[in-house]
Amino acid sequence: MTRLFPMFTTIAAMGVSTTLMAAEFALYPTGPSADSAFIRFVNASPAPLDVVAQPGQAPLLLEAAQPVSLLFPVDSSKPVKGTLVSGGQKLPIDLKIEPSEFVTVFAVPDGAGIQQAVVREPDTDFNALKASLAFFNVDASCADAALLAAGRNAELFKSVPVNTAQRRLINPVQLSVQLVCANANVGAALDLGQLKAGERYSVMLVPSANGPRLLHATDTLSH
Amino acid sequence: MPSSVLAGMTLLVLGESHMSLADHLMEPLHANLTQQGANVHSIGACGASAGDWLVTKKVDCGAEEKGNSKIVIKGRDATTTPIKDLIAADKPDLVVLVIGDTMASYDNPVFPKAWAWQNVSNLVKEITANGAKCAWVGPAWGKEGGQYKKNDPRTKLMSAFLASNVAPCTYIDSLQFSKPGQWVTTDGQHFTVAGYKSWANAIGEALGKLPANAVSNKGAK
Repeated sequence: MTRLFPMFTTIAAMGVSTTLMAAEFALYPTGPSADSAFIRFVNASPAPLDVVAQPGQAPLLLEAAQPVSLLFPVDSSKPVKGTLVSGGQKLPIDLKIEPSEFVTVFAVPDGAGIQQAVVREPDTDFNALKASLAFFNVDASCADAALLAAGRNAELFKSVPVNTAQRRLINPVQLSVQLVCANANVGAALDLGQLKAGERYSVMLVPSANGPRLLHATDTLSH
Repeated sequence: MPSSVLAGMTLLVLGESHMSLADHLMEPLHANLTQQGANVHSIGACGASAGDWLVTKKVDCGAEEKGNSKIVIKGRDATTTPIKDLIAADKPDLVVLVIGDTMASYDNPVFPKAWAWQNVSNLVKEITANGAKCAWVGPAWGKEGGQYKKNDPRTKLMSAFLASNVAPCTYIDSLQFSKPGQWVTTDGQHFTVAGYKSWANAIGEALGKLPANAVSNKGAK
């Protein structure tokens, strides 16, 4: 589902011209008034999830086959409001997103329904010569959540607290990752394939009825 | 002049205000690249940041020069054109982007890194997806202050950001072409005719020295 949500795509001013003539030169902005900010949604529950921006608008549908949405630019000067709808359950979204923030809203299983988890990515570097890999943890059942490069026993992320994320730049290599909880491998290694320079990737630790599980996605901007 | 790697190549050169007014960068750069044997189409749009070349956006001034025709200066009717449409029309081997000052936020204490990344990565992806090579010319040293609040630390930061974020485009580092304050400006940011000639010659020389596989996909296997 790649449909743009008007509410989520009110892009922060990207350079509105002020038309003043000084000598022979036109004055123009040298950047936006505030940095960009982004939001995306992840359905970590077994049931389909609708993300509704405003009543009456077509929802963004996230299902098991495609549980992670695009990254939508948002206006950081206004709160982002909407609703997560799963079955008969509705959870309101009301978030203030700061300039430069990348916010991921998870719908995670909670009994027979869902609960909301919001993870704000800390300020990160951008580098088109490297791959950018993040590890999100929204599973409280995994103690000292860590991610290893499978087969190399190299630690990529160590002790990531629940409802937080860490991100780092790595070489664009073929990579499989192994989840570690309480110093023990959990589940099989997850193959991320050949990472590409300039791309941003996310591995997400989410709870499930069968214990901790990993989702992964290439972070893709909505245009 | 020895044979240039640009000889026979079709170039699309896009830029900000430096490329949008008479006696600025467009004319000497267009002439330099043409002299190297390239078929050149230059378009400037005042104040246009990278992302503005993904859409049609009205700007306050602009200019265009194509082949051996004279430069055409545009007023308030100037717009950007989506890069996809420009590439479809011109079929350039190489897209040259002269964009930096419009994205540096000289007057803002905080550099808008996420916005810059969003703009740069979207434009680079669009160019490469449409089959062209690209070279990105970063900002040159200006003079501290002036109406645009240009300053050396932010110029350096902007250049460093572009250097690490325009790949697979080739980065042309204009900061290597002069010393801070060496090229005289009229307002801290825009150069005199002599400064623009020096910048154009340096850009032309750098582009002419690129390896063949950095200026065209033709022959790539």
